[in-house]
Formats: sequence, structure tokens, C-alpha cells
Amino acid sequence: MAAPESGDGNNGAARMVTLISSDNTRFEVEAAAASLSQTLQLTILDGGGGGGDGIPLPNVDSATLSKVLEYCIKHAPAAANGGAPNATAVDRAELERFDNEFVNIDQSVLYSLIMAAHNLEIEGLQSLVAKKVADMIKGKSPMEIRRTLGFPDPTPEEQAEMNAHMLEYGWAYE
Amino acid sequence: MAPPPPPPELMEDALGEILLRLPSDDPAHLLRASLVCKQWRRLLTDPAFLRRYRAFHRTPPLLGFLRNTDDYIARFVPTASFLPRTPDHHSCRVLDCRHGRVLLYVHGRDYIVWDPITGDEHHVPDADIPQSNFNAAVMCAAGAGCDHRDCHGGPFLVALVGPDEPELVTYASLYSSESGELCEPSELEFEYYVEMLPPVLAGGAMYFQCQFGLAILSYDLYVDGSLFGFERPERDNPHDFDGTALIPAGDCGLTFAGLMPYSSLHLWSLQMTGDLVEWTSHRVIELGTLLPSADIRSYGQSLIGVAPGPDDSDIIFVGTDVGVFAIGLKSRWIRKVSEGRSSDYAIFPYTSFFIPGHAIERPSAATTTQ
Repeated sequence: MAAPESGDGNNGAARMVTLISSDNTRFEVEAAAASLSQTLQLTILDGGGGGGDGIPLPNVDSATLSKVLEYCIKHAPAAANGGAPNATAVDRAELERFDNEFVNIDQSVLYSLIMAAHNLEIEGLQSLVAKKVADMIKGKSPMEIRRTLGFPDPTPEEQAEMNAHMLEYGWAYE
Repeated sequence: MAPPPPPPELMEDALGEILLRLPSDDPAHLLRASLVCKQWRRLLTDPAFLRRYRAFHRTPPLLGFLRNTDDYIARFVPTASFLPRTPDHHSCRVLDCRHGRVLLYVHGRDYIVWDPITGDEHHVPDADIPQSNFNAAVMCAAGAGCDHRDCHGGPFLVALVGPDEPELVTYASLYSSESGELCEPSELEFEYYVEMLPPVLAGGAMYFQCQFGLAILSYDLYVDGSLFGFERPERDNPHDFDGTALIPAGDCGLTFAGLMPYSSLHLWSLQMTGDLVEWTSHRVIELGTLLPSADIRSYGQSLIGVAPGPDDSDIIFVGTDVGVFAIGLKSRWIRKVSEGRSSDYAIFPYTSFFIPGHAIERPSAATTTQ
């Protein structure tokens, strides 16, 4: 596909696009990084997001978007290599270290990331945050999971259901 | 410390991505999560989600193994948290275990196909059970058209082999749960008698071990029902093995595994050209360095079982004086799966995904009876 005139071909400088968060902050980022989002990819391929236009993202606030872009910028080179089959072990280890560090965050930020990763359809990020939450709840009882994730206390009806279930599947709670 | 913030109403697919990543090695993870709230329970009992979960994790995890006790009990020994409603079947003997189903022989009476996950039991009518020297195997009826991650409650086949008059003749027949009938038996003159050792399904044939594992009988399941008999490798080796096992290899190959003294596992692969059988020694694996202590190595151990592991690897089971060990042959890991002195009898590893009772899909063709 031919690159739009306004973008590439500028002395080899990477094409940039502008993303606008729900609270109207503008983020300028390389098109390759933003294209990790399936949602944005088509718009960007069509030449959108360049110049003064910008792509509005009404569901993502600036704090979350800046975090999302941090992930995209880090992962864009590997993604450009087709999922990094050629990446060296060092590169992979570095990405893994980055990922572990990246999700070591406040729970409310994690929740915002989950929503944003799904809205923007960023596969790697979806998988990373999902794995983090799965790790947080594995090995815990239903009550512990509720507390960990900040659910309100169960209603008496829910509590009764839990008790009945534990009787039936005692082996899962020993 | 401030309590964690309340979770947003997670979109169903975001929640799905999270629950998909709960480990499959222990069914308790899914079961506990299903109690968190109605939304989670709805998702975790949704057949479409469970199909995705099984496809994501690919290899059914090891939930336990079955063994025959000295007092005629077929016993399920858990290796994860899952325990079936009836772990013990009295007056029964385990003959085989495959595709989530266990085949039990009820002494002097008949066969039962038991699904430890669902608890379903299906009696196999068999007018004629030989007095001795027989065996049987169970499998999903869908054959290669099924990945066997979801086929609980579906139709199955039972292959029966045993002696026939006159002597030295072995017969085989196939029972189908769909038709409820046995097929026309096949016969073969073969000098070795069938032994109650774990059968192995490889390609389109079921392989039965004969006479202490000295010979092997193959029963073609899909083409013409033919029987074929041949000897194991190292037939004349003066050293006897500390247990032997058959392992399916690749698409339709077969590996013969024998544990030699000093914990070295020898593997031979089978080449068949027409009726010409050739065994090629292709690998020797020293288990000595894996087994945890000198004590275990010196007291002797026995190869007692084989199970499919993740990524097309094989798991073997070694019985010792201090317990049963599972050993991953590809990446060389070892895990103790059962305490206490183990007998030399074969065990039947049970691998399956767990499905909460109310979420089981029953194909319409199922003829399961209670």
C-alpha cells in the first residue's frame, strides 16, 4: 500500500500520529506503535491521525493512555518483526522484564488498562493484564478473590450458595 | 492500608481473557472462581467459554491415576485436588483409561466404562468373559475426528481381546456404545497369551501386551479389524526389565520402553513393512540423576505407567519404595505424585480437563446410562 504523502518519506523520519485522550490531552506517537491497536490500525493505514487532526479516544483518559503508549512503544519493534521470531534471547528477556515491571501497578490503574486494552484491541497488552489478574486470584478461595478484587461483601443469598457449593465440592477447598 | 478499589463492571470478553488464564493443572482454580459472583459463574459454566479454555491450555492435565489394590479395589489416587465422588470401585479391576474414561472389569460379571468427572457409568454387555488371559481397552468413538478435550459423555468403543478354543487362538472384538453391539470377532493364531497390562492406542490400532510384555498384539480398529502379533525388542536379553511400557509415537508409530537396572530407560521404535517387524534402539535416558536420593536408586524402581504430557511430550511413572514419581522425558522434570511404597503393578494415569457438573455438554448421540 502506498504511504500517504503527508506521512512517510520525510528523510526517513518515522511517521507520527496524534491521539487525543478523553480529557483532551494530545499524544504524538509513532504510527508503528499506535498500530499495535487493531482499532487504530485501519484509521492509521488510511492516513488518519496525522497533522493537526488527531484521533479522539473518548473512552481512554490521559493517565491510562500514557501508560498504554509506554507499552506500545516498547513492543512496536518486536511486533514489526512479526511477533519477534528473530529476536535474540536478550531482547526477549528484556521485554519480559519490562512486562513484569509494567503490570506491577496500582489495582485501579490495572483495571483502567484492562478496559483500554480491550477498547483499543491491543492483543499483547490484553493478554499481559489478564495474566496479571489471573495470577492475583489463583489459589484463592471465592471470598479471598472477592476481597482481592474489591468486590462488596456477598449478600446472604450469595453466601448461602457458596456454602452449598463448598459442601458439594469439598475437595476444591482443602 | 486502603482497600482495593471496586472493580469496574468488567466487559464479558475482558473477564473471559482473565479466567482463560487460570492454570489448568488444578481444577480447583476454575471451581473456586465460579463462586465469586453470578457473572463469573455464568461465564465459567458457558460451554463456549469452556471449549476456549480447553483449546487455550491444549493438553488435559494429570488429575490422578488408577491402580488395582491387592484386595480387588480399583482405586483413584488424586495427584491434583480433584477427587471423584466414588474413588474406590470394589470387586473391580482397572483395565484401561483413555479420553477421560476408565474401563473397569467387574469380577466374573461384566465391564463398566466410568467417567470420573461426570460420575457416569455404562455397563458393557458381554456374554462371554474368559476365565483368564484377557484384556480390554476403551476409547472415544469419534477417533481422529476428535481432540478428546470435550468428549465426556460421548459415544465410546471397547476393544476386547482374549483366548479362544482351540488353544493358541486369540480373538478380538469391538463394542460400540452407539449400536450397543459387539462386532464380528477377528482371530489370530498366536503363541503368547494376553496380559492385563495397559493397552496403547497408536494410529488406528490398539496394542496389547502379552505374556509379561514379551510380545505385542495389535488390533486394527478402523480398516479391517485384523490382528497381528510380534515380539518385543531384546527378547533374548538375559537382563529382565524393571517394567515395560508401550508409548504412542508421532502419528501412528509405537515406542517400546523398558527400564533397565540402574535406572536407565531404553526406548525402541517400531518399523513395520508389511509383516516385517523391526525394532530400532533410538534413545537411552539415564533417570538416575533425576531420582532424588541415593536411597531410591539403590532400592530399585519399576516403570509402571505412561501418560501424554504437554507439547507432545511423554510422562513416565516410576514406582519406588518411597512413592510414585512422574518424570517428564522431554524437559527432564520429576514430581512425586504419591507417597508410600509402590507396588510393581501398572498404574493408569488419568488426564482430563475438569468440567463443573452442570456445564457438561452431552452430544445427542450419547447413549450413557446410569
